Amino acid sequence: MRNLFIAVILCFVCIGSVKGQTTTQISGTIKNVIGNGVADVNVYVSRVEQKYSVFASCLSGTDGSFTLSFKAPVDSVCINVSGLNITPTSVICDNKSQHRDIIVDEKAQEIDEVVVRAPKIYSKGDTISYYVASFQSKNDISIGQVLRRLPGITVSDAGQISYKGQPIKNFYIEGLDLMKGRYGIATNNIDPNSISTIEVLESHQDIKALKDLKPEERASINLKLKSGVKGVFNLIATLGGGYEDKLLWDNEVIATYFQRNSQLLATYKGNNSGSDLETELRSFDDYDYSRTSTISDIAIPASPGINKRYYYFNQSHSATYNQVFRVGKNGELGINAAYLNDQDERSNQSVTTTLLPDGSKNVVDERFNGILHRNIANGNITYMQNTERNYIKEQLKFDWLSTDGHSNIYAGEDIAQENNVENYRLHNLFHLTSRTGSDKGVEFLSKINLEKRPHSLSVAPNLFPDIIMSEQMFQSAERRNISTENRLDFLSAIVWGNLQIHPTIFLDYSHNGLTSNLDTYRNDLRLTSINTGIGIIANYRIKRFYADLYVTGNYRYFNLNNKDTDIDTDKHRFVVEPHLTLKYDIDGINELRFNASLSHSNPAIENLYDQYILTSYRQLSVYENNELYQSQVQNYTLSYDYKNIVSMLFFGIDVGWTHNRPDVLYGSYYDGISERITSIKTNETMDVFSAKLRANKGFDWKRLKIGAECGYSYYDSPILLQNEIIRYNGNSLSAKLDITLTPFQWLSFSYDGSYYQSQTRMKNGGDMPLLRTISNNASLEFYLPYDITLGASASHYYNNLNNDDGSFLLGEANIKYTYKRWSFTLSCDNIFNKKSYVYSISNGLTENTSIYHIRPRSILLKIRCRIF
Amino acid sequence: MKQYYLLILATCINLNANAELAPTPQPLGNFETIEASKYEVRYSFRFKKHNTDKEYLEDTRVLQIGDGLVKEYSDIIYHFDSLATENFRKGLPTSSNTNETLPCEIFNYHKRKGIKVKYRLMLNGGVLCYDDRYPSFDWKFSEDAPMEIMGYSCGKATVNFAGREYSVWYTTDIPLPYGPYKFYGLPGLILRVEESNGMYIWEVFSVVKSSAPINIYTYEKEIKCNRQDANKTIGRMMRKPLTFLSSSGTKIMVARSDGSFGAPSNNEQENLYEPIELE
Repeated sequence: MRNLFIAVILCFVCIGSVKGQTTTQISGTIKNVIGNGVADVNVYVSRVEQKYSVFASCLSGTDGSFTLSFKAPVDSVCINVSGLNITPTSVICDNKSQHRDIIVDEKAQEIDEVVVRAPKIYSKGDTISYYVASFQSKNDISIGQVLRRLPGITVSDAGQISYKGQPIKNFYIEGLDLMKGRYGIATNNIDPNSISTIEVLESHQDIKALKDLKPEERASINLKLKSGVKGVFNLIATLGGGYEDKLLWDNEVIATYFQRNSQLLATYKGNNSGSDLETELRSFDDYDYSRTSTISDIAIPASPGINKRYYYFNQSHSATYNQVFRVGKNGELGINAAYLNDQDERSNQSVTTTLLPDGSKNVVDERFNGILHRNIANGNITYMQNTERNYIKEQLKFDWLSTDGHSNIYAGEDIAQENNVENYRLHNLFHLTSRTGSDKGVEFLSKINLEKRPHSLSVAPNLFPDIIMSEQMFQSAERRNISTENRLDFLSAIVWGNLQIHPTIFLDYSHNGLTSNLDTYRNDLRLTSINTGIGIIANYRIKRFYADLYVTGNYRYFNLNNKDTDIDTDKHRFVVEPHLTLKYDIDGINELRFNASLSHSNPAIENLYDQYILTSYRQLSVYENNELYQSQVQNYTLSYDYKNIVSMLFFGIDVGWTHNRPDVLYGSYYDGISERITSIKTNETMDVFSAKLRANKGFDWKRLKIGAECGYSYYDSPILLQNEIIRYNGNSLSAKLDITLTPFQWLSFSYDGSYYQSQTRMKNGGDMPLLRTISNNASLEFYLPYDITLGASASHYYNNLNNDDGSFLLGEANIKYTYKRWSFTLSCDNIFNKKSYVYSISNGLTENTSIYHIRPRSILLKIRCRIF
Repeated sequence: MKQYYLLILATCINLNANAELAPTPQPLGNFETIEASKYEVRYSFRFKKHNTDKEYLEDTRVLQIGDGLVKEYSDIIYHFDSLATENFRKGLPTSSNTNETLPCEIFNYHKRKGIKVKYRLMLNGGVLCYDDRYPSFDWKFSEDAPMEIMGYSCGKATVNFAGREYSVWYTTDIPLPYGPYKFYGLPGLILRVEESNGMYIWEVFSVVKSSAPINIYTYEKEIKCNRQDANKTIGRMMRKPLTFLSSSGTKIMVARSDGSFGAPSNNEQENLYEPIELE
């Protein structure tokens, strides 16, 4: 019986092995649902459960036919059909020769993009591309964090991006200008996992009609999205709650939707945990500035030199909406809107010492406690058409600012102050460029600004009883501006060899108003100015050398009308203002630049009133010498830049000299804690010499990046103090270093530090004390298993003018756990529970030491979820 | 004839057996677009010029996959060419390429079963343009356990191609029947290729969608020839580069061991050279 069983088993084994050696031939046709043959698709036979275990494969023929011959030691096989334009289809059949037609569904297939390793930086033509994954840290939640690590790129504390020491011109996402200058919203909120490369477009002329007609010196940045992000709506929400000596909250929602023809970025943020929301709303657009200023404001403590979240006792909400659509092939329509509601509570104690001409010192000791409420709203609608022949841009912007503040000050006695500032602004920009020939064109730029800034300040008690009769002081004021700036360039009107000459004509008109009421002192002024003339832009390019000379001949007319006194003052001036740029591109890696300019500043209405204005609770201003002055400014800069993207080394030196010849000097007259602004005619001059060295180097080794900057400046300047002109000079030295390093896969390290020293001395007088400050910030991140990250950071500050302990140390720690779409971050700020921070600063002949109340130790849990 | 002058700073007259001179970067202004690509795949390509070499040289190969056309080229050469394009436009000199690469562009026309090659000779030696034979691969599928590459399970297949044995790993999850160099015909994208002696190793590191145009660039000094003549010319150039460059009109001076400069010796020592295709 046992022998029989073995014989049967052997028989089966033999049959099986004979079957395995038999060649199977399967043929047939791959057809679509309507019965037509499908060509050039993969047909392969595999094991049923293991598709990677293939026995034979072929491509279908032009009629969809296929034939597969194979030997397989199995009973059943799987016939698989795959291709880019069909849904993968599998058919299980017996392992025997047969004819088999297979019907497939014709549907385009998407392949997941995968990138394991790519060059960190590469350049093609004028574009340098940084591969984001090579610079990204595991815990980065915004592309701005990656931008700070790119060699050659610097990001200021305010969020402004610079390349080769110059601020960038435009910030694009997939070639579209979504943010219109407010790119901090994008850099702070776009997930770095959505971006594949960051491109620096060197000397990028964004106006197609000006290509090869008008050079552009500044670079632009373009974010290239990963293809999986395009056409996908993303919604990321963060919910945070915690405790310091009160309940904390920190929430945000970020929505992005990037399509080929439109882009959307919308955000909401709110917190009382010290995160500053205003910085990311700032505009870096060249034209986006207010033409009026607040002349009467509440006095608040200046910002100390530590991270704002330590001294920012806030309640803030912000919301932004940004959308851009492609219109036709070359058009764009963009809408941007932003709103901020902010409450800032500050308290400090400060001592301000000013060195007076007689060697004595004026000392003001004040304790401050106040709250500032701000509402800011701004937005724009922009239409742009950008073709090879024509460029049109029409942009309408609005800005609204409302500030209410009140505070109590103790400066020998209790003083209460309260203010309100409103600002309304409408700004229109129209830009037209037309290329009239292969090397000729016309460019027209027009700006219109309408602005109104009513504001008020009330102070009790009256600190100027000899001037103001009432017990309390109440100041109301209003600044108005209506202005237009227009410029018409005839591009390459004259071409002579390598020399191109573009004549230009311009007309600027500005009407400014200032009214104020303080007790019996009233101002009602109108300053009207016209600036018109012609100019010539001459470009000369020969091989590596490029020269650009811009000379204008200006006629300037000023009319100051004092409505109260009915006095009209006119002034006519003719000035010539040249600007010269020389560039020598030594070999595409080394570059030399020289800039020289001569300009004249114009009188401002804020310096022309002849009746008292309360500019702050202890400062009363009047300009006795209210002539329509002008000052002359000469500026020279020599720069050298080195760029080697293969070794990821960027290096530059800037040397500059500014010579200023003002007609009028403004200064202070101190009388105890009160201060009066005075002015006087002068022939004095002011000089500033500066030198800056900057270097940036990236390494493939351990993702190391080192950035360093060193600056020195010397100034020699007049100052008006106690109605006496005195000269003072000083110098300052600064150095910065930043390092990022990933020594192991489980650890990353970053450090940034700065050193600053300055000293001022009065000629024929005393010296101000030498100020020396050092700041060091270091952070470590440990990447543990199960997507857990431990982080720790320490900030150290040193200030030699602080009387007691010059050193100050702050620490924080956090732990983060990521699970699929969720991440949980628990952080502890100010671990050592420091209560106050002492900060000293020296500026000119004034020294200030302040003690700030800072946020105590806090715990905050944030839950972040990618909803879509 | 335009003369090219070269100064080679070497400590002896004969070039080192491993030394090769990369093609001079050329501007890319003259081109014809054949079609738009659909995918772009990048491979690291590690290779030895001879089996006695210990160190690998490294190139980055780009595979532009279109509709039946696959272009394969060196990203390093393209990088220097694109810099040259921009620099020449500005009238600037451009950086030399000092990397040793596989200096050819291969156009695999799978629909019409043809291959065109543009081979960049050393320095300004010219560009050989020839039609290559369209190979037929007799793949042997392996039962080995799958290898994971970039998160994909990869099956293994082997093949004898042009006198060399290759092991190839491919994934059926990406239904593109293509691979680096001239490899094709597996039921999925080839992610790794390894020659049996370890002389040539291609490994993928990126697969992305792309709509970039697939261009055929026209270079200076293009020489039309057939496959046999091209192989002979490349062989001559690789074995005796200085003699080859002199014969192609390039003026060469070398630094002798005594510090003086002069024309290279007439008896240039022959370098070891093994072509990638032995047959």
